[in-house]
Amino acid sequence: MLRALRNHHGEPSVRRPLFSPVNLAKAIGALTVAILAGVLLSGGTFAYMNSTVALPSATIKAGSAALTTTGTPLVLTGLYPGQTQSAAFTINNTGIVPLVLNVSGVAAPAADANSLSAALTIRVDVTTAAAGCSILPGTAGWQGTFAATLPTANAPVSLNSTLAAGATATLCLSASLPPSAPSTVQGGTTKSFSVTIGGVQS
Amino acid sequence: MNKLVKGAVATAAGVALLMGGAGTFAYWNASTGITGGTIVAGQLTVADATPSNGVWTVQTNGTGTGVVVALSSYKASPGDVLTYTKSVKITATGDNLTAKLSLAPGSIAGSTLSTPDVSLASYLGKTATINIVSPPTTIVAGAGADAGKYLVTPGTTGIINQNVTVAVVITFPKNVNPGTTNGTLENSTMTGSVNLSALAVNLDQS
Repeated sequence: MLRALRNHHGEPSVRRPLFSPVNLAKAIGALTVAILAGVLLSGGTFAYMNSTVALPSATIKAGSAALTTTGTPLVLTGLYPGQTQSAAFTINNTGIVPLVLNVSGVAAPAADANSLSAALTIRVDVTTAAAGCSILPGTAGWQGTFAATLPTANAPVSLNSTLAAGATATLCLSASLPPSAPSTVQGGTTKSFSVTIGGVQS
Repeated sequence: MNKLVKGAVATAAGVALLMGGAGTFAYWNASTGITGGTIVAGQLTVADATPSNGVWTVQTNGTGTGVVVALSSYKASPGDVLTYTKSVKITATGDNLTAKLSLAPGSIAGSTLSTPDVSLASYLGKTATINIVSPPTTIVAGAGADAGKYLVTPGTTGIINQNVTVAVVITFPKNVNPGTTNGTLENSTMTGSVNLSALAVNLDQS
């Protein structure tokens, strides 16, 4: 309800009711905000009783596992059926954990003439014998042919040999031409095949 | 005076009337005092029992007797179980009080944001647990949702300055994914470093 009044200049003025619904709503809103702010800003924690004890700081460091090989690549010269030629490599475990060695990859030759590679048998052995690779163990660590399914990183073939941390061993990479090799491979050449040696923590 | 101020003043006056108008407005009135009792609150604290008595031990592949190591120079590898053993002092009083003792979350963090550090923290953080060696009957291992925690129930007797030996066990997983490429996933942790500066034991009312 509006009521005409006179101000001090004698002019009509309008006064709105003090408790209009709009004013009440605003007031209630302001009060609610104020109470909430008071509660939220009062500081402290609302958790139940609790206590914490700090333990001394510390740092945990992980070691590593690594293998290195050194040696001269295998060069096959005058290979004939029934013969095996080998090259010796030194393999070193430079990590902090013992590793079970495996063949985790064999890359086919980059060049092949007369399909020599298809007739070859590749073999990998680990030996600690003084004779090195001149006398290979009776049972091969791994052997296969390029024509067969070869070990891969996801399907490594174990050499059943564990190399202790910091230890070295002799690795023999051999290639042989079986007596049954076809005569068509005569004069053939095979270049740049490789074998990857892996190690899994024992 | 604007509308908002007027409204607020009016509402405050109303609230003041409601709050300050306690009691009765009847003509006749009476009151009597009630003798109050004493209310004593309980207590819940966990504190260092004997500073500097903590020790780190390592079990290779989690078996055998732990060997004491100087962690600052030790290089961990998958399969290692590292245990930090320390005495703490627990006080828990409150007839109906129950609490849970646990390892503070996020206690294991990579020393840097490098891949090995972050990876190692992830591996170790998943397996960090807390054990209490020979706990008293008032402190029992939790199960189900409380697995990895200890439930503290002091009862009416209370637990007063009870020394308990806490073992923080951190396992470096091995062969998490057997059959994968020569343990490629675990290889990501090589040379990693994690910081345990925020390692803490929490005791929270439940």
